[in-house]
Amino acid sequence: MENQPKSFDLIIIGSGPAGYLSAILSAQKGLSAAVIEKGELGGTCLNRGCIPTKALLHEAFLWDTFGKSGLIRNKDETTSYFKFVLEKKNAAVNQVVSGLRNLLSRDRITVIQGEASFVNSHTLTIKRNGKVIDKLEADRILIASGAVPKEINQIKKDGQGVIGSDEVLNMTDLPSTMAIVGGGRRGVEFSTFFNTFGVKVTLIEKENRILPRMDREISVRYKGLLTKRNIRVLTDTEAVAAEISGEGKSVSLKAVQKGKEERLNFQKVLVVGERRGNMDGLDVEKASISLKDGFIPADLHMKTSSPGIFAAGDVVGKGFFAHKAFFEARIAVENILGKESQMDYQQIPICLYAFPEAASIGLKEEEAANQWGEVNIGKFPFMACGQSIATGNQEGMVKIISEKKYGEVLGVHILGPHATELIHLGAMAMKHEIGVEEIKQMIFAHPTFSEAFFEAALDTYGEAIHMMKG
Amino acid sequence: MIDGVIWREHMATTVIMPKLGLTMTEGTIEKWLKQEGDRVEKGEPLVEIITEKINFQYESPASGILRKILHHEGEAVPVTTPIAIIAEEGEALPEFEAMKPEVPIEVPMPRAVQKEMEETRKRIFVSPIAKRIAGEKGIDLSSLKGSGPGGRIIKIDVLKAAEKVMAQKVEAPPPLQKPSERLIPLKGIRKIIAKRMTESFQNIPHFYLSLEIDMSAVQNLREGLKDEIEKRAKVRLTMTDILVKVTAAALKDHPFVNSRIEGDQIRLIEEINIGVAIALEDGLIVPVVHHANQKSLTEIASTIRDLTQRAREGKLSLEDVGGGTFTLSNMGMLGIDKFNPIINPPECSILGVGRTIEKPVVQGGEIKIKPMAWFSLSSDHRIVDGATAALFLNHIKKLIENPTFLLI
Repeated sequence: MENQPKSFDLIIIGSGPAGYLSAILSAQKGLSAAVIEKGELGGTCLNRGCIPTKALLHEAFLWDTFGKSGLIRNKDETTSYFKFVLEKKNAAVNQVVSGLRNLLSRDRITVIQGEASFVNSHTLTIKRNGKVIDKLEADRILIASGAVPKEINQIKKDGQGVIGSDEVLNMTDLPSTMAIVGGGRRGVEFSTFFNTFGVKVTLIEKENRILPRMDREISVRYKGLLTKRNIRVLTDTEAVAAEISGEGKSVSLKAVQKGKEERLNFQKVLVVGERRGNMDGLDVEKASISLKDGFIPADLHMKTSSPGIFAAGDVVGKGFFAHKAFFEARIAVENILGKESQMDYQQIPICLYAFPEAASIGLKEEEAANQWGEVNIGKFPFMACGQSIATGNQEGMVKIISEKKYGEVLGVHILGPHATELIHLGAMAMKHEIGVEEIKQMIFAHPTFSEAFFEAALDTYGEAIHMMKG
Repeated sequence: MIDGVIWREHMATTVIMPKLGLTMTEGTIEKWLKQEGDRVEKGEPLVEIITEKINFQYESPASGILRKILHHEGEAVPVTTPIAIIAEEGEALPEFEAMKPEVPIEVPMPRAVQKEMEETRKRIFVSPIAKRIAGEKGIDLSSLKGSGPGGRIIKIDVLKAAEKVMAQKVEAPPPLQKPSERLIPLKGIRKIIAKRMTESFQNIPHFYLSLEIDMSAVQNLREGLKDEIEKRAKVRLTMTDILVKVTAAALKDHPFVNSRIEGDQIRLIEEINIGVAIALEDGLIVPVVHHANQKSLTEIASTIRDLTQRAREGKLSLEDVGGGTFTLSNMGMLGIDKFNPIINPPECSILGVGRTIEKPVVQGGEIKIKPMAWFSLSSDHRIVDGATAALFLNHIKKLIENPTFLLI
């Protein structure tokens, strides 16, 4: 190991979406690429994020649907179904991880299991169990090391009574009561999940609304939907302390709502709070990489402050989405190959996979009004959409915000069935400057949920068909 | 026979806006040469029409009375739209909707022009929002370069162009109309020149090279040949004729000067078709001497004489002005020493020739009086580099100073 370091065209730290995509893209362009992974291949998305949570939520959705339709009478079966759900989730994770392994070996990408640390801006050592096992060098290094949960000082996780989003995926027993601290997308998703399996859930959010990154109307409507499902939603509320008693059987949570202190008891507390860039053990200072607010800032070409070093994915901040990471990785590789392409952060879809689903892209109604003055709003409720009535998915609406003069689409916000799929109608319209007028000229198949998008476009000019006015 | 009324097929002819090429989508009626009620014979000029490229006289497709003019002067009309009805006196005019065009929709085009038009055919890729903004702000999309995916014109491109236009508008002094001034509408050939020259000057990175050439040898050549050519072809040999001959000969050895840009490619053109700029009362037209390199001096002289004559009479056809690969502009007779002409797109170069004057020239240590003229070449730097242009211009110089090389 004291010998010459192994040399590559590109070394990638992390094998999550940003890491593995940049490895595949650079290998396809003929670069020799090495990927270093200290944890599980595939990173958060494949192992602890997108894929397992969507597997869980899908099963919960089915259980909920069958429950509502009266097909499930025996509530005792919930526990056994929950075990089945976990198996399905594990199978899904195994399938995507082994699929990724195949992709990486197809492209002859070197995958090294170990922990990377910078020696200087183009050399890395690799440690396994604390011992240096390898030394690598490259003119280009991409940091895609992801993000990890930020510790909330007051609330310490013990892995039993108080758990985080990693432990929750391996929970084998259902608690009777649960507090979920953090009313963002993850918090809302877990709320509907556990609610479906009969857990009495309290959702705690310190801002004045849940889903604070989404359009206010979706926040407000969603709070109503959760309340209807007997989920207790506490906004403007901060969890300040947790006391575990009875060998992890019960947690007493101190919450402050508008200066008023309250003590609440739960069997479990799940904390899905903020995240920070994962730079543990990287020794980024040895490569003169500057940091900001716990992340590695990158410019629109995904270059860090250190020449030759790029960063992409959760580690750069600006939201935690695999699709954002994918795009950043693509931009980083293009710039590594000499093409000066740029990231566009304006049009990243934000998706909520709870049921009903929700999705947003572009400007929120308040932002649009601030930036453009007067704007047009076209809105259509799913309860007036034929397919929604036929399939019993009547909650929610499609909202299209457009500019007044030319009808340019500025933002699309959807709450309701298949929102995470429908949002791409808005993404395409916005990216390619298809205005409301052009959407109106399209033929939408009937009956489909997409018709709600069409009707929202019509409603922009008060021309919606299947809706009562006023 | 129905109820004693004799059913009669009407014989009226509907005249439609002809489609002269693949790219032509509409034509503007410049002038009706006949008025309603006039008799017109088949083949007689009926109406003057302007297209993107030129104006031309459209001949009547039938004989009869011009009974009805459907579109008036100045109107832009899509191709194949009926513009007039010709019928016999007293003949019933059919209901308009029921009429079918009775002339072929596609007027056959000379092959060369058709080819050229196909090559310049261009679909504009533009986002719907950009298109709407351009329409509202009066921005010509064909003059824009798109920055979107695959060169698609997007909103930002139109907004930038609109900003530029606004800036120009701000700079221009307010139009103070003095009593002695008049406003002339930018139309017809003037409009075509304005559009094409603006496009050329804005989009083509021009550069200019000049050198002075001793004209004594070609002056002698002209003296020696002019009587013989006049006897044979009844035309007076001009210096322009000789310059066309020389240019055509030189172009054969410099294919890049005889080429054009097509998207991401350069087309080296086999044919050598030299346009000759001719000043008219209301503008400028560039008829083309096709296959100039295959023509004798006599043929060139006759061709140019014929083109000049027809240009002055406004009788040039699309074929006469199409297909040029290089342009020659001789301003010698206008007393100009030297000038840098603007490239005539899609060509990539143009040669400007000044007047010939006697001046002292140092040759072998002695001062001699020689007839000298400035030659200036304007080239498109996307295709032609300085060295390429210099070699070509020096080749012209060599041929002019030693015209016997034209024989080999």
